[in-house]
Amino acid sequence: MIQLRYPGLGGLAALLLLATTRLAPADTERNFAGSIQLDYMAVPTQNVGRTIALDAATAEVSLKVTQDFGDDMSASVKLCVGCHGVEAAMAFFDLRVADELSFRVGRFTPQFGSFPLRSDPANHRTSDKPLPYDMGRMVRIGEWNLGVLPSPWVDNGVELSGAHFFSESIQLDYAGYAIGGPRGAAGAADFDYKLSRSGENYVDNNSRPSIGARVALNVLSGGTTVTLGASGMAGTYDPQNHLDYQIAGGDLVVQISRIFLRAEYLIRRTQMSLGSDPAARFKYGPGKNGAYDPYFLKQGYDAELEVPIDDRLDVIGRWDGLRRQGNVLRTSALGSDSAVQRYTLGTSVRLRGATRLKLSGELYDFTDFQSEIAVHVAVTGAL
Amino acid sequence: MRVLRGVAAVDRAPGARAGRRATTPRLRSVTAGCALAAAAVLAAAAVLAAAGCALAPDVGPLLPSACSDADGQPGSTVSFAAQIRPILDRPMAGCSCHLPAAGEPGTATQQSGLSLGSYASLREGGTNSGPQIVIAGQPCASILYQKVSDAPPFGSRMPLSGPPFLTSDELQLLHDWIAEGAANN
Repeated sequence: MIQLRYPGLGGLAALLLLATTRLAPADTERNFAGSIQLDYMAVPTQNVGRTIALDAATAEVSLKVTQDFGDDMSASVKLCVGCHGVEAAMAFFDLRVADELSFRVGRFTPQFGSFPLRSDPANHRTSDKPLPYDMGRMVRIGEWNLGVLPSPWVDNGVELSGAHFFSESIQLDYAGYAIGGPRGAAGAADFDYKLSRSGENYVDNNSRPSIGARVALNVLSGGTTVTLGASGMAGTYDPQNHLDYQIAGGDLVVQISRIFLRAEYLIRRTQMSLGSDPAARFKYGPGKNGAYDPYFLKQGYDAELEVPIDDRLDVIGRWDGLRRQGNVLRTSALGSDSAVQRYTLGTSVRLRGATRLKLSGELYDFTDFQSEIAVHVAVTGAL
Repeated sequence: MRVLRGVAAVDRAPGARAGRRATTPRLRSVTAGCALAAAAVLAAAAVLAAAGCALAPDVGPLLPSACSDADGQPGSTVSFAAQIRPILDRPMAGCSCHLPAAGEPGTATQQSGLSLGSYASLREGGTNSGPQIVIAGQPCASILYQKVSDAPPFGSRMPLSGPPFLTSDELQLLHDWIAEGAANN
């Protein structure tokens, strides 16, 4: 998410929306949505949990306004208050030509994977996100530099998308986009997410867009829905366009009545700057061919089962993890092949309306650090 | 459409066998969905696992540490006020991310909770660094030195506007000041 360093941008978009509304025909429609989550995380295996994780209590609030301009055009603005202050999570126009072709222009979350479709805290039953998409609640965030592709990933650009209905049972969704892409500093060894959310970098850092695409096949059979998706994104992330990256992912969602089985896998290949003296910069020496390998590989996976016990109570079991292979900077606590696995058991209780109480316990199993336990208690509400 | 035919075939098979109780449409749909999902997951996992193995980086053995905590010039003492303060105070391409705003003393911006406005605030460290920002006598373990060197332990190398980064002489001054005890001299 991007910090709104220039609050005027969001305000301007909102004013534009309101001004346009007055001039719009009478058949226009405006929708308002919002959500809130207050989460408290404890790390009982540490005396001071914040030494290896975010501060205990975090709040996320989002407010979204969507204005329809007839049947084919709409505009959306969404503001979020999260760990990074006020941020513009959406500011885009949608133009629908047909079911098979829509355009989205502005600031949005490009289509990648399955979880980002429900990344709002009101839309998932655990307090935190799966590790491949972690954006700050994982233990040892500093050492791991978050997940493979933190969610929600918000960026500026243009997206073409559509859906083709082969029959009443089979639907193919697809999207392609060009966005600013992840950012890193000159001579970087990984993405720097702080650069991606600072307001001045609403403008791309290297004037070369990243491109990506997603396809998802949806099959409906009786009370069962199966969605199978594949995603990809590639580009450069440093100001000089010297350092490239590629991300690929596959996802599966099986819904049987109200039971959900979700599985997702992401892999990112990222080029690191070797610097002028790799021996002083890196922890490990040259590979078998006598040269320093400038790439590292980061993989993430998530398997989750969500089972409703009754109308108010859901139980969630999750197994997710990360693996990083490749050289690391000399100061890194990770090795050349590091991994973390996490086991989560949680429950979500609907209190009233869309207000929920979330409870979860997590066991982290690290290859480079001692195991940790994290406990989450959260209250979530939605409009 | 091929997928639809596949689903139908799986649906028909159990109930078509003589002597077996016909499954309900709901159960058949669940079976079909799970079979389709399992096949897809297995195929995708095989492809991705193969890709992951093929892309595994080629990494050599662990290197000995190139950083030494020894003072580079034991015969002389680095002054915080005269030699380190000017390095910290120098505007980096207009950014003073950890310094008081110009003309407004005491209103440090403190990006990441780190203020370099005074010796005391420097030693307090920031959100990520804390007291590890400067460990007297151990420049190689001090986050201040690590963050301006070629191997920052987290985030980007400082100053963020670099290059240019600190010169080798400036890095050596910072190193030696910490190696000598990081005094407020």
